[in-house]
Amino acid sequence: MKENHLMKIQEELKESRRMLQTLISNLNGMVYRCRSDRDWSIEYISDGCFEITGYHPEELIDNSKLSYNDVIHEDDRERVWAEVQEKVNEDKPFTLSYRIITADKKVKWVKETGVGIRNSENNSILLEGFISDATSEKRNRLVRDVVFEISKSSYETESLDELLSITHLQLGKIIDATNFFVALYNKETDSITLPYHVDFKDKFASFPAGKTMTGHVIKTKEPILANEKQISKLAEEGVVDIVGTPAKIWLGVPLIAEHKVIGAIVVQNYTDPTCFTESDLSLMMFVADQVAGLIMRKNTEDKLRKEQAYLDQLYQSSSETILMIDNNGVVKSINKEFTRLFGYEESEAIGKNIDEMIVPRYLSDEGVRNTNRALTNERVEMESVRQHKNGMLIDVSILVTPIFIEGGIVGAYGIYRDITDRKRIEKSLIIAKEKAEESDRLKSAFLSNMSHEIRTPMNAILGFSGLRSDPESSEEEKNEYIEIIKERGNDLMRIISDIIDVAKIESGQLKISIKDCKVNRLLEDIHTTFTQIKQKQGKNNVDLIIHLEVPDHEFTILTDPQRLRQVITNLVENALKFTESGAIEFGYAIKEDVGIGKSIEFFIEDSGIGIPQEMHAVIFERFRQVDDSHTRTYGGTGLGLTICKNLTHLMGGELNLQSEVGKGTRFTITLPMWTISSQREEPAEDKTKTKERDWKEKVILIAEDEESNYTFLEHVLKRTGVKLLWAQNGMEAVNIAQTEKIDLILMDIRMPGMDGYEATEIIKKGNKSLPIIAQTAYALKGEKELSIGSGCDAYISKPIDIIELMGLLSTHLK
Amino acid sequence: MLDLSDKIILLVDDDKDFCFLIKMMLKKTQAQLKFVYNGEEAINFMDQQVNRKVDLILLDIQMPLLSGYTVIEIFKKKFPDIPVMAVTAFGMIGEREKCLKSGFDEYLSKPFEELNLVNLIDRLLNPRA
Repeated sequence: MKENHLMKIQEELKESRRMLQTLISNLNGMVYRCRSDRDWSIEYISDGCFEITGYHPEELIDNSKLSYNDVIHEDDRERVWAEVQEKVNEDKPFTLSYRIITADKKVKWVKETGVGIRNSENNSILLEGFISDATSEKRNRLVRDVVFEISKSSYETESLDELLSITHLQLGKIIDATNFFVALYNKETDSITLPYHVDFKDKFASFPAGKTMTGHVIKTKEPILANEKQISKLAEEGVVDIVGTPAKIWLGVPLIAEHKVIGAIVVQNYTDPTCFTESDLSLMMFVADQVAGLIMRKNTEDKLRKEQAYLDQLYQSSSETILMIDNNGVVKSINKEFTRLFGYEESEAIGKNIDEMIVPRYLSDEGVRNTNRALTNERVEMESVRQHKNGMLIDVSILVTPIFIEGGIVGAYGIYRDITDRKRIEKSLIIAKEKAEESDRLKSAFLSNMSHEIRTPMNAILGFSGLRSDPESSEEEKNEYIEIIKERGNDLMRIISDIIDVAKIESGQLKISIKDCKVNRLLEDIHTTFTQIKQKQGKNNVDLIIHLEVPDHEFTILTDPQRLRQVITNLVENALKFTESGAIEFGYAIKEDVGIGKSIEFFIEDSGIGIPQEMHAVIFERFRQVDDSHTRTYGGTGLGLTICKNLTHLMGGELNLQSEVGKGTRFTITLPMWTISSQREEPAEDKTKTKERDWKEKVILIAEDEESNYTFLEHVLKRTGVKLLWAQNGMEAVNIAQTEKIDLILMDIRMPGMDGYEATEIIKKGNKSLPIIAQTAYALKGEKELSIGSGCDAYISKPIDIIELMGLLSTHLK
Repeated sequence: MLDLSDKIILLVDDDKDFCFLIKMMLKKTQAQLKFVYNGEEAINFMDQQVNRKVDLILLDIQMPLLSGYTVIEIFKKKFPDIPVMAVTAFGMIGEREKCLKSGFDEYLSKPFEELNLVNLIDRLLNPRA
């Protein structure tokens, strides 16, 4: 009974072991038991072992031929060990994936689940578990990764080469891509180029498509997976020719983009005919899709890049001066012509604000306005002045247009053209035209005036001359006629002198000649003359009074004595003409005004009929009486005051008038107080004279808007032999300083347009060593600091002291 | 010799030498000469002539305050029958036409010959049929 029972148990055990054996044998994988050692020494492994590894269980059990650790992929061994040990130590089951190398040397992914079993007797550990083939699962994941990597890199990389190399690398993760090439097809030449080619056997850069396998794929637009035999068969059929080393297996798929074949990608293996399968083919087709798309995109990008390069070259080599700014007026780019015109290199210009870079300071408002207009969608077209890096000013035509991208303004283009030459011609044409018009107008006014003014006395002269020869005229009458003829002859003479003076003033030919002028003597002389005239005219009710502020009889100023006499004489003559009773007072007073300096004011005041207020402004205008219809209030040519005013201007002064009808008139002539020296000591003057200054080789530029001031300096510097150039404003000074060789500049600070400070800054930028002496208005606080700050080497206050000037010039003219 | 002893001639000119010249030139004609020195005086003078008739007016063009052109306008309205001769130093082209257009009956440009003056006066005072 006991034996029976035992037998029964044995039977049952045998049966359950058989069932287990069957189960295990049918499992899609292998069941194992192994020791937890470095070899993973196998105690038991099921038959599924062969299916997965290509090894028979006997080869692995007890490491008889090789250990299971040898089967694990070299790179995964450490990881497998570590992961299993960690779980076992925690008495937890483990699950992990790793690669094995099969008996036929292929890589295969496996998945293993297992658990550690502790033997209580010797504390040793046995592992039991199940290993299954994970390739397909793994591969799917890999394919996903590879596809992702390839498409990602197609966006991230610049060169096609790099992209193909990444594709190759990624492809190699899932299939054998040892021998891989990308072929591009040129239909016109029926040739194939290989932009990417890795092959252990052959090296080609290009070959005729002809009947090659690749050519066949391209022409049929069909992928081919063929082994050695199938290739030979195709060759025998004359479909293909075998070129290069024959492959054991060959897989090629066409590259199709926009329904056109542009090439093919090919992998081949020279040893293993089973290397590629149908699933590899579909994978390659997917990769081909990516590569084709990517090649097309790169081609488009290349095309765009080329176009961009063309445009860049056009921009750079354009003969127009172009720059581009962003929305803040900051320079983004300039072309070569810009550098040529304005002197800024690209590296200097980029990042600078356009208005601060090339807009001269005196035009900064205009610059900012232009930029704003362009950036608010307005096309700005104008002519203006811009500044070179070295400070030089350039006449330019400017075109600023906004740049739109996707409907929004992102900046503006500025195009500049140098119009200096054109401007110069235009300016001279305008001046010539104005001169012609002016002289035309003057000519008719002049003629009309001359005709009338000459005819009037001529009428008397000729008329009385005729009467004089009349035998019936008495002696007494004849004498009277002769008196009239003489007087009218004198009138005529005066008229002719006036006319000549006006003509000279109008044509700019009237030059003043600055000399020593003994003021008191001059006025006393005039006083004597008019006292006689007054008596002759019988104007006993009129007193002629002279006022001399400086008692010194030798008191001397620098001016044109002859012209000063002419002006005062004319005004006293007028005063006498219109004054029937009372007094005519004339003389001078010395004035000192803040900001202007010392001046001498001559005055001629009468108690005559006066001049109506509305006439004050027009009275100095030439030919006013003629222009103003035919009503002439007073005799004379109407030129006297015009001449006086002009002469006073030429002497650097002002002629003004105050008058009230019935009360009288006061004319004042204000002249700059130029003196040899304030003390007027003879030795001081000798010093300037004896210290022979020979500056014949030197050139001084005088920047001065007042002609008289220039004439004064011309007079003072004549004896040094220095050559003088004259600029009438700051702009002209800059231009002359840039074009002429000069040794020194005497710079007036107050000038119309560009002032002396700005001109100095610009000139100093271009020529640091050129000495500039500022002429500043006396007594104005801060003028000295400002002039030194703007780069002037020295300053001299107006009115200029000659000794001081000579000293400064000696110091700086070296 | 032209006898103008029964004639009254008014001369309007601000140049006193000129007035004297005319006076001497017309001395032999025995014409009765009246002088005024500007336009305003001329108008006043004419307005006061109630009984005595002025036969001829010699009028300067350029005068203070009122020009000869302004005066002739008034004269031609008030005294359309009295001949007026312009005597002017404006000898420019067009001046003569301007004068005749403005209502002057004759035009004499300074300087002139005595004979010229006398002939023109004769023509104005003794128009031939």
